[in-house]
Amino acid sequence: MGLILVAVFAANAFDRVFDEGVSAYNEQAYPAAIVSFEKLVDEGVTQPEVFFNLGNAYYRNGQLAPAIANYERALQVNPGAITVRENLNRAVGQTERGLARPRPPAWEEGLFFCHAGRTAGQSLAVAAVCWTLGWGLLMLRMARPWPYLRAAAWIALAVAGLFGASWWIKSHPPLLAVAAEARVPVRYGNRPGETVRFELYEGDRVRVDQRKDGWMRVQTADGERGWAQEEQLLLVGPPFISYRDRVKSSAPVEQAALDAVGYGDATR
Amino acid sequence: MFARGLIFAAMLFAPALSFAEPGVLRASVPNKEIVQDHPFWLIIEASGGTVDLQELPECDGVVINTASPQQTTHLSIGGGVQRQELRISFPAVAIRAGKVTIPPIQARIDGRILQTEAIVLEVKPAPESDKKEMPVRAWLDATEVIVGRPFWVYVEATGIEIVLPNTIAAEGIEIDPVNVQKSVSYSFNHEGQQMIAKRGYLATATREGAITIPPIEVQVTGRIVKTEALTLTARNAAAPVNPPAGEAPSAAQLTQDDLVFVRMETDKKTAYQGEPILLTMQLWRIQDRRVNAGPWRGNLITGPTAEGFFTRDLEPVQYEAKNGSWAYDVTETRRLLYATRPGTLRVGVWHWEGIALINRQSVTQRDRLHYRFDQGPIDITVKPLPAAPAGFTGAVGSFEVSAEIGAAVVTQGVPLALTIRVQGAGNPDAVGDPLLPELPWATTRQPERRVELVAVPNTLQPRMDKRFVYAITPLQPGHAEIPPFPFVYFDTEKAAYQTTTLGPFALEVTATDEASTRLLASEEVPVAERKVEILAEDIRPLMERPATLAPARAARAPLWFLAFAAPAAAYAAMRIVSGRRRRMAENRGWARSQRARTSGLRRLQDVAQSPEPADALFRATVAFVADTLNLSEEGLTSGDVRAELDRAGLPGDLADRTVQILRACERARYGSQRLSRDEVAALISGAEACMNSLDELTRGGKKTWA
Repeated sequence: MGLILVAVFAANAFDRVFDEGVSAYNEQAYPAAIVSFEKLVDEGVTQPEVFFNLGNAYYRNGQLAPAIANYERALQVNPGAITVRENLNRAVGQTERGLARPRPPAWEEGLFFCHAGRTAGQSLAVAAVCWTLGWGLLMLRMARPWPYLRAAAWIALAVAGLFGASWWIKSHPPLLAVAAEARVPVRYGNRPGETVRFELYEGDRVRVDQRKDGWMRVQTADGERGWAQEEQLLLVGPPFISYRDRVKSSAPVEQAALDAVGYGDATR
Repeated sequence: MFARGLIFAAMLFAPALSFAEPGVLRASVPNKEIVQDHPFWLIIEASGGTVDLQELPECDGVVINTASPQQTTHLSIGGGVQRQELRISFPAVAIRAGKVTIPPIQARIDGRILQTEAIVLEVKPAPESDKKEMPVRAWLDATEVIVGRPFWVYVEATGIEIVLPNTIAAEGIEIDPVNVQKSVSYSFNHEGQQMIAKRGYLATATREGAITIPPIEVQVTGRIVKTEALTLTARNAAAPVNPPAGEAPSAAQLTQDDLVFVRMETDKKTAYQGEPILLTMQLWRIQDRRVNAGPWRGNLITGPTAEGFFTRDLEPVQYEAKNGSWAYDVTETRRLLYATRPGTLRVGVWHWEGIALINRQSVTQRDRLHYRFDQGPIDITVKPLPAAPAGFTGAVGSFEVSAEIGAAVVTQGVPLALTIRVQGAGNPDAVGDPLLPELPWATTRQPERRVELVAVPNTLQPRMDKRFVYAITPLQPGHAEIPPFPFVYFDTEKAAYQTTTLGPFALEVTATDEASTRLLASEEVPVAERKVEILAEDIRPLMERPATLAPARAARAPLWFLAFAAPAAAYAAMRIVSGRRRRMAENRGWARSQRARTSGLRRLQDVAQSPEPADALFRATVAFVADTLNLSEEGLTSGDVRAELDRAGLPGDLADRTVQILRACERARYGSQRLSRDEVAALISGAEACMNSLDELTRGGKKTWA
């Protein structure tokens, strides 16, 4: 009973924080909205609505990088969300060069052409249904040896395997990062003195291949690679880490709003 | 003359059986009469399972062309043996009269070396008429050339075997080592085959005056033959090359430079910052059905660098134009350049490479010319703009500006479109949003921008047409006015800022109670008009709070594991049960042994209530042993049971205990003394222990005690 009460209380608290974020957003107090939604992220709430609204708040606050990162998070949780994709495209369109997101390998795009837009859970559910169907058909064949039952069963099991692999891939997405500063130098090596190979602009998305000593080896959509400092990039995740230490706030009224939701210190 | 390297090797797998026909090798000359310098055929015929022709021997007085023989192969299979019959015809020619001998020719056939007989030829001297004909000749495509312009020198030879020089040397000309034409053809007649080799050298005169190309040496059929010397006259390029007026140009007057050339130019060399500059890159190709030219490496798209310019590529155009007396197809790539900073900016070098194929006599005889052109660089002087007045939004060029409103009478709350149109020559991306005055009676959104580039006849530069559509929503009813407002741009023709005043616009706003909730039923609107007009693009609004807002739950791994494991486990269980059932049905002995303990214990429970417990116990125990060992229980005595237990290899003490119980029962059955209740209970207990032990040792029909 006590656990139920705690759960209900916690749920109400999350709803209240969400509503506070929406209210702050509607009052154009975007930093306050950001910290409200980031608080939910801190608590482990990873529903796409939270990331989407957080992306909107960052966008309105003039911070393209965290906005793009949060839209990407929302798409990771729900790849089929058209609204999120539209806002992401709009935000990316406002970056310096609208760099495309690094694409998955060609074999993955070819083999798993059907899983675009599906969540990992949906892939797993389809895999479970096909798996059960396959074994069920094999059991049915023991009782009723109808023709083609075995072939149908193997097809169902093969589809289950395909969607199982799809689930695995979606559950282990490539680590994306977003350039958080106006210009992020990408160097040949992971030391500050290394030659700059190319530059990323704020909002450019890259895939992270490797992390080492505060540096990330990143790869762009066109295959260019290099090392960039972690502090100049925002990791999309998972895990979904809050970006609240990067909130820009200058107006005192907004600071008051932050204090009101209990996150005032975060932006000072 | 020495024979060339190995000519031919034909290896086919065929079993060399003892009854196979022996290999055959023959050489012959079918010509009845051999004349000096006249071709003839040397024919070699070979047959066998595997044939490997050896290198031809050197022949004194005969040249044999081993590079291009005529060959036929016939395969046959007879009696399980595969044979091949080869007939190879070599073109040959005798280079001296008299008796000439072709030595024996060898071949390895079915592992054995065979050789032909030597062929002795009686060669007649060549007729006097033949000696006058030169087997080589050289000529020029023009005897009067321009200094610095290329022309062709051709050498052609006819013979059995020809080696043409890679280049030629002469005072006053240079030979292009890249553009060398090579062609080889063959002629056949009843006597034999002859090769016709031709080579074209691209030459350029380096001085004016008469130039003599000395005789060119060519190796023909083993002999060195010289061409005749060639003479030409070179003159300077200043001399007229175009035909006189009224005369059609002749192909002979075309030079390599006239076939294909490129041009790059800009419409101005001085411009203001932001002013459009048109860069054109033209590829000129002569209109001649014999000439086909095009890019080889690089093309028009990879144009020159334009650092410091904002560029906009226009659609390429193709048209016909004249240059001198010749007509050309011109492919023109156009690019608009907008200088982004003052100073001297440079349009880089445009490098173009291509080839031209020129049909000389037929499609197969074509000249192939390589071209490399570099155009540019072009320096542009960019002047800075003067100090800008208030309201300047970045438009530089020559413009016409206008404004209009959608309606003079509008409804409160319903957006009204104010369209400002900027047309002219300029960079549309640099034309910023016009500054609207404050409208306290309405709300104004960011304008929607539409840009079009329209081609204008007889001008190279396109005309830009940029529209700014503002959505103005009146909030109050009554009379309203959009006051006049300026649009400032820099006019490059007048070199000064120009201000165009737009407006004012008077409006009547009618009141409505449902201004904010005005809706149109879809049935009232035609289908074609149901699409709303987007007045301002922006991000999509916030999402609603989901029904359950909660942290991501820990992975439901156990549930998913169950979901995936359960079907497989169910299938496995079903397989086991099904297999057991089938074995029960098919293997009666195994089925009896499986049920022996259960049925034995059930019988023991009935023993105590039986009127003849000793008899019932005996039957129960015997039935259990019979079931366990798959025996017939009818007529089994304690001795039989002992023998069967021993035969089954069961432990002796267990057999002893079982037999003791059975004998006790037999004594009670056939003796006069009945068993007491305690004795029955003890025997039942002992029988139960024996059954359990026997069942454990024989479970599943397998002997586990061994």
